[in-house]
Amino acid sequence: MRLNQIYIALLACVTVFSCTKEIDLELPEYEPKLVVDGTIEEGLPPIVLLTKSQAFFGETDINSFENSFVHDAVVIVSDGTTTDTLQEFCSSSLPPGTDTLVAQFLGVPVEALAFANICAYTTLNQAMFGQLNTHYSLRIESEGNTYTSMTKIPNRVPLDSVWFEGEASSLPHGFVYAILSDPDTLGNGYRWYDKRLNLADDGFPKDFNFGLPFGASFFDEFFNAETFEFGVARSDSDRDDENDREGFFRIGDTIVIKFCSVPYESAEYYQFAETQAINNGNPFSSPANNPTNIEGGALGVWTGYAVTYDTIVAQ
Amino acid sequence: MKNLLFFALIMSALPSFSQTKYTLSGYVKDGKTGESLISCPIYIKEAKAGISTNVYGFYSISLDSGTYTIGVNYPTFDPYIDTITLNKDVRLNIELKPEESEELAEFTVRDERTNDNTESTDMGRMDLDIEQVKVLPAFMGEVDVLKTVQFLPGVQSGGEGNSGFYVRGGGPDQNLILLDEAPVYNAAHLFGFFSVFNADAIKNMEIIKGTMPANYGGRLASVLDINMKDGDYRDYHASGGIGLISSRLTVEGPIKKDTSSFILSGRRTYIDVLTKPLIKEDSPFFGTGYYFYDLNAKLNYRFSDKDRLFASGYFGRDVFNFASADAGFQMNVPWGNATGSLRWNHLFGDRLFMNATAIYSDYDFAFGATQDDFSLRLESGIRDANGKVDFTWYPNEDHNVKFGANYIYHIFTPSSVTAEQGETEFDLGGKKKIYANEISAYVLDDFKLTDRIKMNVGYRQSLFQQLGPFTRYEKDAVGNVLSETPYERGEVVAQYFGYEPRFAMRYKISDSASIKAGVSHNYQYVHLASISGISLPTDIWFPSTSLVKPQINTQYSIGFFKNFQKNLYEFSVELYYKDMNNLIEYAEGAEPSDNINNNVDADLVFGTGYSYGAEFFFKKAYGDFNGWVGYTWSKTMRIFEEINNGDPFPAKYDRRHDLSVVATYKLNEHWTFGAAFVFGNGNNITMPAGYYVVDGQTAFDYGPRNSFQMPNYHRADLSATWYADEFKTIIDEETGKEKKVKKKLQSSVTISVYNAYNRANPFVIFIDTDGDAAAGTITNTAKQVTLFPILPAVTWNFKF
Repeated sequence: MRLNQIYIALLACVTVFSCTKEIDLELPEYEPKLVVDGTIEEGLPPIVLLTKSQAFFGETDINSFENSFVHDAVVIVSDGTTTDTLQEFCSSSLPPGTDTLVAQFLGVPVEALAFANICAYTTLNQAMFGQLNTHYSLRIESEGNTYTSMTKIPNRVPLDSVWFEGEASSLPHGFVYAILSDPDTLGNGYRWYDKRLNLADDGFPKDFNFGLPFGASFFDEFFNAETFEFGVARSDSDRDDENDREGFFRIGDTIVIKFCSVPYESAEYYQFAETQAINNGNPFSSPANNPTNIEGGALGVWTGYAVTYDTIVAQ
Repeated sequence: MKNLLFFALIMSALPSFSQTKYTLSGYVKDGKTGESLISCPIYIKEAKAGISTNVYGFYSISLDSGTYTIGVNYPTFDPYIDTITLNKDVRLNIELKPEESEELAEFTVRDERTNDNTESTDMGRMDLDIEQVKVLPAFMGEVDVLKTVQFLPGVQSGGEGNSGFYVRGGGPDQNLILLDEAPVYNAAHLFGFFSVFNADAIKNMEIIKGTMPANYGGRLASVLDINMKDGDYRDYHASGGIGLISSRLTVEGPIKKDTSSFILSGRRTYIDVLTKPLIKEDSPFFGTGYYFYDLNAKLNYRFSDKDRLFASGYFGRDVFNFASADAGFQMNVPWGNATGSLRWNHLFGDRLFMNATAIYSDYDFAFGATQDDFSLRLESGIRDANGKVDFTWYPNEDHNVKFGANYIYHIFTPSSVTAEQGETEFDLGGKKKIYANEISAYVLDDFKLTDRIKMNVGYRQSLFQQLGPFTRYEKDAVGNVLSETPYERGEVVAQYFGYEPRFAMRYKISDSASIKAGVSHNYQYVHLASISGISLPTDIWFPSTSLVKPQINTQYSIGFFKNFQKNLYEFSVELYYKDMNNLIEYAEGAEPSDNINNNVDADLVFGTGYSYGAEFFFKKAYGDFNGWVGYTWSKTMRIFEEINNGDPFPAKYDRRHDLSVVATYKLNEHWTFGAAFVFGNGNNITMPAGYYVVDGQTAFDYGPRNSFQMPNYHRADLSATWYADEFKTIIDEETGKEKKVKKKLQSSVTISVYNAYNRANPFVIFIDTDGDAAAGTITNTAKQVTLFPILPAVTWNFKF
């Protein structure tokens, strides 16, 4: 909970007690920028999604989404020893039955693959698969411009323990709690994902992909070298049934927690992005862009992930 | 070298000091209440000389021996004319009778009104008559002196919900707001909708936005000097008002007749009380409410004609509670000011007036929030202990010399955050205070060089020291501490000297026209930084430190002043250019952080700015119908290396056109009408120009800083005040005839209409996002929030 709470409360008051009307803004013409959504996870190949940002008040439809993908870029990843030029793959040319796997792989909803042609740059070269405690440089050449970045897959920082605890006033619902021992070096970033494995009525798992709940990206500015307990709500899911409650897990759920160590710069980006999303242009908040680690004028982030998984049954 | 020249100028300008002169001095008071009258002009006909009373009602002028006709003319008082023979020093205390007959008022309008605006060296200096302020339309019926100040040219409002004002391109922290000489750091109630000044307790208000005389310092843009009433020395009174959202009560009277008096004034809003029954216990907003209150008090004692003591104080608090049961969220935000001043006036002989002041000033803000078992508290504030001594020396009729010194000990609490979850208390470093000394001394001479040329030459020397205990941390990008430099208690951490020459001159073209010019160089050592897009109490006061240099500006101004029809109409045009350095802003995306191995000033970035403009002012000063038209054309830019890629960007309140029209009309003894119209270009804001998706989350790509101008702001307000009969007719028991006697209870009703033609002015613009970017269904819509439609209000005022 940060200062944006006061801004949200203010906006709530203002909109409750005032008149609101839609207006047309005459903004200067927007020059789209390259957006980099790049990840490299321990044991997996680098995946780089390249898109173009869109004019804020522009017309949008499925074509504009598809057209936002940037093709024919030269994307080079290097760990200092191995250098590889990534290849572009698109969802429209996937072998049948691989869509769930690819959606998970790309970190997009599986439905997105069905109605849009999503493209990503990656490699099948296993020498380029992510390794712990290794730096990875990224170089992108597109439309005459060059963009560069650097990330690191840090060492894993596993959670000490993870458990479900029912909320006395909300049973059978509750939250997942964990204990984390932060290493004594400052600058550790974390991301927390969750997924329910138990089956829904349609016979498929409750969640196909890992989701990010509120407050899922953080770094050790306030808890460096400390061991502490924290609780986390459940990420949003559009596959909830009438017995589920938004933000809560339920007794009986089989829950996988994917806990990631990420570089400080990436955690800062994701935390900032989350704050920006919550503020959603709230005029009381500070209008600032997310701090990218891409050099050359692009937006987005290039992140190395060290991952640990914990599976628990809520009881 | 400059200093030598300056002192040589002063000394060479005092040849008449050695001639035989006699001093005429004294106080000018309200004959009914005994209140001293401020800036009251006194004319000596034969000497063709004049002088105004100071803020304590004192005047002194030294003249050759002779017989002189003394004339005093002050709005709402009968003119005073007397003849005196000056063959020795004469003490003449003048009591003015409140204006009662229309004939006299008419006489004063036509023949004797002052031409101070063309005669003085003052530029951009304006007095506001509190009685006129009271009949102007007021938002929700709450008379607000700060809102009226914003009707003046060169003074811009930040819009609705913002009582911060912006003078000639300066920020809201660049205005020195003084209440009985005590600095007020946050002059706003209810996030800026009302000011902290209760008009019932105020006697006089003056704003200086041009060349600041050397007796003022510590801010770059303006001085708003507000003086509280002393309290009636002769009779007990109570006055007050009952309005839609608040009520106020003032009591005043003598403690010892003609020697000592008091005034006590309080005000409280009751929106919270009125809305409480409407918010049921099961409502998601149960527990949400807001109120503010303030209290002014003043005591004074006249020991003799040479010694007076004043003790005055202000205490005000805003309390905002917000609760959202659905989100399990509660918030409590109290903030407020407290000031106290103890002043001693002493007269050395008849020509040297001294005012020694001890001041305490405090502003604090707190933000407490809880969500489930997590709670957070943020505090910030500033506290001053302030001592000053000011002398005014009246050597002869051509000179008015002021000199003095000021010492302020500041204690800043820029930001302190505490947080706990359940039983776990997070270590966020606790409160880290910053201590500082601010010392200054000044001398100025306002003197007549020739009949046509008058000058005000002054110099102010200031010194600012940041003091220990303090630890300076140097950190890398991740937050690792690279070095740590501790300072002991009282040790000087950073020190700055400010060299502040001030110069203003008037060249008189004729009795009714003059040209004036001025240059001032000012230093400012305390700074307000705003994280939010608008001015809020969350804004934090910082001192100058080893990282934060003092803000400095140089202002050049020139103006033409002309009065018409025996000073019934005043016209002026002023041009200015202002150059500002070391301005501060928060770095993009900065948020209050913890105090562990951290310096709060590390989140600030520094830049420069400039502003230029032309201000036109036309005023009908007196009569049943009076008012003014003010128009400003201006441009204000900022340049920060770390903001907007280092490209220049317009200031938030860079407003090309700003127009105010204010009028009052007294129809008869029962009815007075007021009207005001304002027009200004919209504020400049930063809007998202594009959006993109990373990791499934939509993000904004903001356009250049302040590149979008909100729609123009314009509004008209109207008011009508009805005064009940002041007199009643009774039968005189002795004569058996009818006679009129003044009623004990005087009352009036003011009806005001805010935003009379229901203009939907923009308060803020926010983004409404719908759909999913990854599904290609996202739509972003801009929505404008308008706070106030047409808003009538009624207030009943009384006095007995």
